[in-house]
Amino acid sequence: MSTKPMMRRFRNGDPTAVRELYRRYAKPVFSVAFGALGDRGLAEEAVQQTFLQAWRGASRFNVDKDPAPWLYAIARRVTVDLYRREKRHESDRIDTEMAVLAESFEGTWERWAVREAVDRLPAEERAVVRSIHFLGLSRQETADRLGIPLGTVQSRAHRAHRRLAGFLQHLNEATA
Amino acid sequence: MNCEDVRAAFLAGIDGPVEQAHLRSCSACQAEFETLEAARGVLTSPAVWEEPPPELEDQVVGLITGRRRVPTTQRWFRYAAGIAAGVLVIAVGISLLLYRPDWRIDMTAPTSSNVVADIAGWNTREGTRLAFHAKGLGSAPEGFVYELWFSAGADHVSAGTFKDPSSVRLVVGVTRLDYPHIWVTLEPLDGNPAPSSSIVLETGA
Repeated sequence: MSTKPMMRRFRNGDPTAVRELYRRYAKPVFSVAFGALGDRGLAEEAVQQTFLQAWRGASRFNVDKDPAPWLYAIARRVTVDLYRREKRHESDRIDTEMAVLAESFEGTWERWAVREAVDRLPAEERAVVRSIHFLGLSRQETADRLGIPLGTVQSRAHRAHRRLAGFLQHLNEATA
Repeated sequence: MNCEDVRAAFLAGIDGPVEQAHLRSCSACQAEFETLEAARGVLTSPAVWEEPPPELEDQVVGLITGRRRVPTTQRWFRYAAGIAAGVLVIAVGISLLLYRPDWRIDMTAPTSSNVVADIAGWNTREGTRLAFHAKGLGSAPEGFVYELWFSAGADHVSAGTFKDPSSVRLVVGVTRLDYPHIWVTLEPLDGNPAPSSSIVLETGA
């Protein structure tokens, strides 16, 4: 679905477009921040700051472009600033640690893309993928946990992974 | 087995003889393999499955929409807003004349003598409020922004980004006393938070 009408309204200052943009991208923003900072409170602050900065900078956004990379860049920058702020609070000493980002900042774009892809799955397929990858359960354990037949788990898992691989194809195109 | 089935299998962590045979003969799937492996690793991360709290949506929408008024089409309001804006511009102009910065320094361009720039700072409890001006430096090209940095040794704090360098207002959470080196870089919009090596303006220490 094209984001152009929504982004045009967002750029023109339409408050209803803020909610639409939030619903579409808040979870990837949260994933980038939570994955890097490891703290829900800070991740929520990062979400607020990201959308606020996007709103302030919206007049310069080209509505013909995909907003995801633009929002991602803002989210990552906000997260870095929060990380450095927290590091500064931990120690008054100025040292090189503050200039070096943690390993948790590696692969943030992949985290964004995977979150976006997972959120596009139907709920029943998402539940199966979560059970297999995040909870580390086997197909049979997933079937028991979700209360569905093993065959259903297998077919949903196959469909979900096919969809995810398709959604994530742009990651390879971006790095090729 | 077609490419879609093989890629789904790799993403699911299934890597049997059938998938391996396909991979050996398919350059397109070979190109996807590393990406899918990385994505499989990301799927185990809690960050992909954690949900922001539901109340955050209203907080963010309230925070943002409270900052800018929706334009109205009523003519009387346009006149009133125009008069109010005029009064505000005059008031801001007077206050700027009266409100001297705590410091002001010139910035030089390492690669051009035609650029004239300066930056002024007002010390606040939270850090420093900044006014930056540059002449002779065009707007950042498509896909790039300028970024203003405060540095102390290897520690760099971004004061913000901007496209048009002619007149910029920024706020940074540090002071010039602690971060004496101030510089401007041209940054590609690639998500990399570190300063690029493309320095367009800088001050002395």
